Amino acid sequence: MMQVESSQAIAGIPIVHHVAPPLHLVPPQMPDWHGTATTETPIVIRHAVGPVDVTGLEPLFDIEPWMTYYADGAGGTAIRYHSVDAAIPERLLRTVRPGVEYDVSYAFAPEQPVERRGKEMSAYAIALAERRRGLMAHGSAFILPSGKAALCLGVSGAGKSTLARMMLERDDVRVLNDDRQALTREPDGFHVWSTPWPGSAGIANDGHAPLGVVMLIGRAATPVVRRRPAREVVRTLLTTLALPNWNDDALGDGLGLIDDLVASVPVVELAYPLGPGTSQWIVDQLMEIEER
Amino acid sequence: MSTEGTLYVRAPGFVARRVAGETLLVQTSARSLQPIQRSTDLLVLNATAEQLWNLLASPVSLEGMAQYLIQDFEVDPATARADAESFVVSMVDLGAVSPLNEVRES
Repeated sequence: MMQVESSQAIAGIPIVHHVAPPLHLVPPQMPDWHGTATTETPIVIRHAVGPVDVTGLEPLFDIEPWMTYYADGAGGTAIRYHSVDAAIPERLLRTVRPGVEYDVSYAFAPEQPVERRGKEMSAYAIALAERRRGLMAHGSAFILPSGKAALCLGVSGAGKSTLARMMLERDDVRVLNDDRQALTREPDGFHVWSTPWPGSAGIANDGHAPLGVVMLIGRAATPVVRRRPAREVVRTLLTTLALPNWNDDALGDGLGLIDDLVASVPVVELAYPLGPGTSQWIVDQLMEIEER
Repeated sequence: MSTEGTLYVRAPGFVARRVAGETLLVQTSARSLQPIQRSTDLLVLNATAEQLWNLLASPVSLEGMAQYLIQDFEVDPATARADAESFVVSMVDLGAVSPLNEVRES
């Protein structure tokens, strides 16, 4: 019997899984995640055992050792998840209806239940861009006392989770997620929405807020804050926002979103030592920049 | 690098977009010399390169590009030809521009 599971909405978009036997999904990793109200049609992911056939797909880029992205020739994308463990089958995610429906084929049925996180996160990032709603951001985020969100972008190892843990100890800050956010463009500006996909700190709290400031972080012996010119941060934004590289029109729109972002939201570089008083210094700096 | 009259045109799989006051050329697909690579490779086009990129929306020869640079950037013919050739060589190497097969401008 087909297993059907729905996840709570992320930035208004729920995800519905249709799982054909003998596959079986593991329960959600974040059982306390409540998400947002549903405001858009769901993303449907259909899971089934089937061929992992990339014939006719055009390779785009690798994310070693995990996956390879392809263009499907119809304006959509496909992702081949490599088998990094003999017990885990190779899988192929393909676009059925851009922004709405995706199929995942499993080379064989694994003995263990199927993890939903990887496919959910991929399909959501793809759909968010294909719907022209926004882009998935690789970064931690927290809501400042002002009610605006600070988005800390950075690749793995940049210190995002450490920052999130530090902010978690404060009463005047609400940490959203330590690794992945949905960044959307709304009529009143950019918004940051938490997701159920945390990083190493395991933080995934419900919430969203208008974006007040984007921060890039580093370590320094003494605290340093520097407002970064837009042109200097574009490369960082290109590597930390999930751009739809498989489709010229969608990529153009994604680049347009980045152009709007750097034009409307301050981007600041913060470098600091870890120690008592650091979180207060960071909050003070961000509040001052965001309120200017 | 070319015979007289060879026409060049943009190859598919690249998007140019102004971001933060600069024109970025971003590769979207695998139609380059390096089919598998990490995203997001990009080039920043200066004003001359941006204009030449716009010109390459339709097939154009080196001579046509040089003529454009002479008129719009007020450079001498030798400099214009060298700039156009340098740009086209780098774009062809990247896979962003392709020569049409020895088609002569009419």
